[in-house]
Amino acid sequence: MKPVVVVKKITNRKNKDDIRCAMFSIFNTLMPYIELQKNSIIVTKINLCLLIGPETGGTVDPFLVECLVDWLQVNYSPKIIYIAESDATHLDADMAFKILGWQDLFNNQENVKLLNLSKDELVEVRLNGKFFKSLQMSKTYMECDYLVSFAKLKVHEDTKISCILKNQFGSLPERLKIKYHPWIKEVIHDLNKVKMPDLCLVDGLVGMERKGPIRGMPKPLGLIIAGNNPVSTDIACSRTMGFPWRTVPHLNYCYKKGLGPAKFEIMGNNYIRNFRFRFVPWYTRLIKAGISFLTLKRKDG
Amino acid sequence: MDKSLKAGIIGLGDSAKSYHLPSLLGNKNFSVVCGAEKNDSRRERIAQMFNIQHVYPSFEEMLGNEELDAVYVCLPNNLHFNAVMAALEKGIHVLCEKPMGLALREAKQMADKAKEKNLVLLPGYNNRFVDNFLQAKCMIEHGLIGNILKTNIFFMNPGPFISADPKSEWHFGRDNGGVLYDIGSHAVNLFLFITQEKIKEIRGSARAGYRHFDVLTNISCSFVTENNIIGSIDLAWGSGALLFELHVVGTAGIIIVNYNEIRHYYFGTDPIERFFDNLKMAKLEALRAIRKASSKIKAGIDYQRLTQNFFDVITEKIAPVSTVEDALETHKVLEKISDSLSIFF
Repeated sequence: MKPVVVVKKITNRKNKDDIRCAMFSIFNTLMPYIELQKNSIIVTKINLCLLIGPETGGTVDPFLVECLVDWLQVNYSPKIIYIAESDATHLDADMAFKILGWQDLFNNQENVKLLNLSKDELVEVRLNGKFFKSLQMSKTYMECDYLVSFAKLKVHEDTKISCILKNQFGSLPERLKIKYHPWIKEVIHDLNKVKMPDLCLVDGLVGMERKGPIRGMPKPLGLIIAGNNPVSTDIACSRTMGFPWRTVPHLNYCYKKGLGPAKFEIMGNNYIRNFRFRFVPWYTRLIKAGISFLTLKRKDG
Repeated sequence: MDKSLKAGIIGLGDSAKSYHLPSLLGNKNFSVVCGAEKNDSRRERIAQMFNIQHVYPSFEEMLGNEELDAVYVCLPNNLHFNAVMAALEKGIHVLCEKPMGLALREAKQMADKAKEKNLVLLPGYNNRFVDNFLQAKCMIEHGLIGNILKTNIFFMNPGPFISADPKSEWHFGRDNGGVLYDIGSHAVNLFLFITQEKIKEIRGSARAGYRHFDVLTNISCSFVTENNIIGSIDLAWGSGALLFELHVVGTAGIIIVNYNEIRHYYFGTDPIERFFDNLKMAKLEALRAIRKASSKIKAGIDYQRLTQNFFDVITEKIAPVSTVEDALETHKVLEKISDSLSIFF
């Protein structure tokens, strides 16, 4: 399938009609490039890292997911759509669904359900991965017909950017995923290989810069980025944020391991513009590096 | 040929002397041709100080004898109404010092008159032109602190006796609104400007702190807006220092802003970032101080911009920064506060 990316800039990012039109336009543009059948089981892995709203730049905007669900219902009559997230170090997914308003969103749609990947039945998956040889993953997640990854356009203190590839890190059902951070590139690669997203969506209505993914500053942009390959979509995101994609460790790694191409077509009439996201300040990085060095020295000593 | 607008000033007290006359005289678009002041010695003193050609003992006389394009009403609050209405009746554009009358009813009548006559009536809320407050508004509109959760406004100053001409005792009159209409009007109006929120309910406590004067000097209120944002307004005369500060708490950050500094805190703010921010702010303050000291115009930049905006609204029909609608909304809030107060003597 030809790798394509669509970038849409919404002039008035607070106008719901404009947002809805933009989302539908993106989906219709991508339609010939996504292999989705009618009556499918669809899982949408969203990004809810903390109990903070989408206006902070930290979590996906529920309204965008609502637009996605509406479009899927109209065009593909899915059997069931799961909106999925797992528990994390600072997050209980069920609590997040309640407090951030997700629980109230799809009350009148019987075929839309919220799914906590950490509380679902688990299946063992064998994998010739770079880190995992086998994995315990959510059964519903692994057995779905179609996977949508809905990420946020964010800077990440440790991985530089947190978009589609990093969003898949959250598909691991374990709560304390932080233990995998020393091997983050390999783990991200494996989680995208075990179940590659078929449709990649990035919420850039309000992104996050500085100390993302949770302690950063909002970067209001009014952007939506979409694609049919996680590597291509993340390259587009990286360019949008102003970071050369080869300097994003996990992105460069996944590209080298063949998860996706660097060349893709930009559809529609939008182009990728550099919005100059600010990374973690240099002095903060220096101090962090210094502390890590001293901690290591102390352990060795 | 002189294309400047002919302006007159009604009331030659402290606000005229310290703010409006310097900004008018520093603006080439206006020529100050006359003034009106009841107090004889003040009238002569100010006329000489600012080289005003014609001065009158009453505004009626001034308006009767002069052909003016614009008038500044710088009278005590309870005298705004008659002067503004008289000027509008004569077809003259008016800039009226805040709070634009003492009652909502009066303010509405002034607004209706200006609309009927197709004239400009500009409320003199100068804080809307202060750089830091404008920046805070921009940051909030841009979404840099997410959704607003809470706002706290503090306005404290030494009070009218220390900061104003000691001979002017009108602030101590019970019917002149006390601290509520003096600095409370600024606080409420700035809140409306920066947050674009309307106050739904408000209640407070007050104290009349000057002995032998039945005038409110300290007020503390809590409010909730139409969008369920809660907050507080604290006003005081008699404090040891001047403080006009807003704290706006949002879901993605906090802004603390006053005349001298604007601080933006977000989740990841650390001491080193604060250090570099402080250096940047110190540099900005130094530049502003140098600019002010070397400027020939002795009025603050906020009053200069207010005067220029007045001219632009009159001649180019652009939208005013300080709107009559917000001035009326300010009055509504002030009356709600006044009605709700529990007073402690």
